[in-house]
Amino acid sequence: MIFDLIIIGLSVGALYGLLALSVSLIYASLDIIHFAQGEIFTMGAFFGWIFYSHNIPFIPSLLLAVICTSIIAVIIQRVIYKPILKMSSGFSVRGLTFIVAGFGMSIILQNVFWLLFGAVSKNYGADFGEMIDLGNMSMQPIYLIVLVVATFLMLLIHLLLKKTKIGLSMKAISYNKQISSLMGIDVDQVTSFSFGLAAAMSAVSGILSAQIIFVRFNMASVMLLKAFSAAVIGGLGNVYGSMVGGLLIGVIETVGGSVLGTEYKDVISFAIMILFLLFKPSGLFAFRTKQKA
Amino acid sequence: MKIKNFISGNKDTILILLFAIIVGVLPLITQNDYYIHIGCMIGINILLALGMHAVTGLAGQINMGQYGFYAIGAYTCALISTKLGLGFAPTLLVTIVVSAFFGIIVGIPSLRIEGPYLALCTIGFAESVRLILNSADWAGKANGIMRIPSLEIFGLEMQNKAQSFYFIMAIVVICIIIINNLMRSNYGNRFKAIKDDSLAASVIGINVTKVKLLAFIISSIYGGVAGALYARYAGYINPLIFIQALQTNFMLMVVLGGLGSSWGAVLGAVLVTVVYEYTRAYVQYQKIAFGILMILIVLFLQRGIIGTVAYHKQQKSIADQHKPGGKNPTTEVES
Amino acid sequence: MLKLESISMYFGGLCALNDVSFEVAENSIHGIIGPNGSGKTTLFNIINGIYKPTNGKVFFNKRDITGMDPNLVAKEGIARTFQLLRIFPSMSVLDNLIVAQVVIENSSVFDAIFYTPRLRKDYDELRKRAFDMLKVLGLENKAYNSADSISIGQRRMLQLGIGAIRSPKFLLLDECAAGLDPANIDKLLELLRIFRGEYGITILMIEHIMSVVMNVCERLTVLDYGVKIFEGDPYEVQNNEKVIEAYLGTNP
Repeated sequence: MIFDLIIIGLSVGALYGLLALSVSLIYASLDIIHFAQGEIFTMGAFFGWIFYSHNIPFIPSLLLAVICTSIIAVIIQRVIYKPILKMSSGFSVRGLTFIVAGFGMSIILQNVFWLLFGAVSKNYGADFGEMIDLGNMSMQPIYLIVLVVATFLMLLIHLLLKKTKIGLSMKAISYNKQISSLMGIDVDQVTSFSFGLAAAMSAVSGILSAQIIFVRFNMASVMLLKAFSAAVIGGLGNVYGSMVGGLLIGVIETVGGSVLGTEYKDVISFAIMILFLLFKPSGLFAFRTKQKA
Repeated sequence: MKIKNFISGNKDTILILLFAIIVGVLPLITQNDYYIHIGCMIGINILLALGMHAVTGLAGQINMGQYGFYAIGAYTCALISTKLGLGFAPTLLVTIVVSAFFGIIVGIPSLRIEGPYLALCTIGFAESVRLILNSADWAGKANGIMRIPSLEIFGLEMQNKAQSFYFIMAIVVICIIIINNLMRSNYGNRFKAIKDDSLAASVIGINVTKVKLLAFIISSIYGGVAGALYARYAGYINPLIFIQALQTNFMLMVVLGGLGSSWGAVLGAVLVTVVYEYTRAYVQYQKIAFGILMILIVLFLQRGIIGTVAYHKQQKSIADQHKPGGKNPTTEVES
Repeated sequence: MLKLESISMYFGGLCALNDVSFEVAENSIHGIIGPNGSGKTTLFNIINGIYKPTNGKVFFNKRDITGMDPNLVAKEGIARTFQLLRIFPSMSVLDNLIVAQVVIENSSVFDAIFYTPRLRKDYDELRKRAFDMLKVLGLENKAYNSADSISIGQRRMLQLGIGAIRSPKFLLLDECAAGLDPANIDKLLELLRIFRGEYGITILMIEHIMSVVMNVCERLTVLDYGVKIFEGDPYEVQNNEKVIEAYLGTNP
């Protein structure tokens, strides 16, 4: 039945979208593509599992996990990434600096998780209730919960960006750091806030994903690349675009997977990303107009 | 015919001869099969690192999909060897052609995008390769391909690890010579020019398209040959070998040794392979150490080991030049 | 030798060049002057093939080279320097001059791989020419220094050398005198005369420094807001009302 495929697709897509949104936030404020964001996602899932398995109810576990993840993420940003950004010289190859740093951080975190939690997938074992009946099909409630949470978060982010001082500051520094700084914005603080916010979104995505795919040190490896696909399709740096991209990928993948076979569904997302990178790298909703040299 | 006639550069000739001698002597010194196995993996990784060096270090095109080329080479060789029963030489030829083809395909995006976007594109390619190999019947799905015949030449099979080691290293030495000659010529300069400023390069007459594609072809061929050697050396391959985590090893090899230096790639390959194979039991700690090392290199050692040494030599040379009665610098630059 | 016919360049709604036509005579030194933003560098980019003009054609030695890829334009014999100083910092000064000669190379990739005698002979030739150029530029001592470790003035000289070393028929110079002190400017003028006289290179230069322009250019084309407003020899240009107005404004 195509209808429940679409709902599942949207739900999975929302999870991609949240991770994609994080990537875009970081790109917008730090100008880097953070290759270790998947491990932040995983960190959220692990923290949530720790709290939940100590009998803390689900929602408080989620909130605590988000807070812990954000704190650690900001520490990483200030202690390691800030000095790297401040360096005037990097590799002789442009753009390689943060790719290497990101991959390095990713490997460190993944293996720390492996050491701490072993290789066996962890299951929250959370019960969200019985299958929900929608017409003549039934679906696990988690998918609908994801949609509700994602919508709520998007609203939150929208209000943040449009109505709060810090949200406007974030937009300002994404356009021009120097001028923002001259106008009294503490670029440092806002940057860390963006990074923390991105970590929070990734953590939520991680915890919710863990209800479907279980927690493992490498659960994010394919997930992150799909989040990048979503961000590229939607327009890297554009928060709304990233969510749209995520939803699109989720639906296309789920529907396409039922046609081509689930093993090939990941390839579909990557193929779409490559096509966009080649022909429309600014995505569907371009974030910034780039200056022509 | 003197050996010098085939190798460009005096210093490199000496280094290559030294390398050949060390390689030649190693199996005689140690009878331990484990060390010789590490030696074989060093050889294979040198090829992968040299490919990365050519395309990313020299030409500045970020290729995070080298593990994809490795997989393509290994599977092509495995399939041809098992399904068609061909010897190694024809298999290698076909692998080279197939690799070159994929090199061009992956190179085409580099004509339009660069930096992290190109990195994403190449990862997307390599991951797709892995996923397809993992799901395709003709590739054995998750089981991979087994009972791949061993390395052979003119019908003589390599019976033991030492013979395989010589075989692999012979190919490695040839490949080092090829890269060395290429990079010491004006072609190497073309690569560096494109890395620095592709617009300026095109204005002086360099066909940027051709050179970028050539860079990717070299990377893919070297990766593919490495894959072919691995397939027949190990006798068994499966998709779990060719994962993204492998790419971090390759990256570490080139940045540790020095992006701009082929001997840096060799040194990086040796160091990383030795640590990797030797500390297999402590794989998580090893990986964490690799990760920390990568970040430290970004912060403190961007030129890599060889690059930093070369830079300081040059700086000293320049300083000498400015002293009274100073000599002109005669050391070439390796950035 | 070089003929521009009705060149117009629109970037979206913005008009950078409007119906510009002029010719550059062989073996001359021709200057393009005009206030900032008058479209001079855009004109160069069009000649080079970096931009394709919205309208109009570029002819070089009677061949239509409009919109050709930059590396093909280079092969036709046109060389260029950039206002923003584009050299190759990761290579040595010597290698910069060697790579600048790719259009006159005689060897192929395979020659390089197998280190054939032909490659060796070719490369020795390229090295020799590079060293000769180093002497002309006064940079022999810096041959092995990396190109980013020499001074700005030396880098400008190097850029000039990169443009001239493969004996192009035509050289586009974009503000090559900017930032040079008087001693170096004299050296530069000497070099330009040598290029024109001994090497037979035709030069088209964008320049702001009037002393350079008046000293060495035989003919000047003046642009303002993308339009050609005058063309003539330096004295005519100096005294022309429209030119004075463009640079200085009119008396109310």
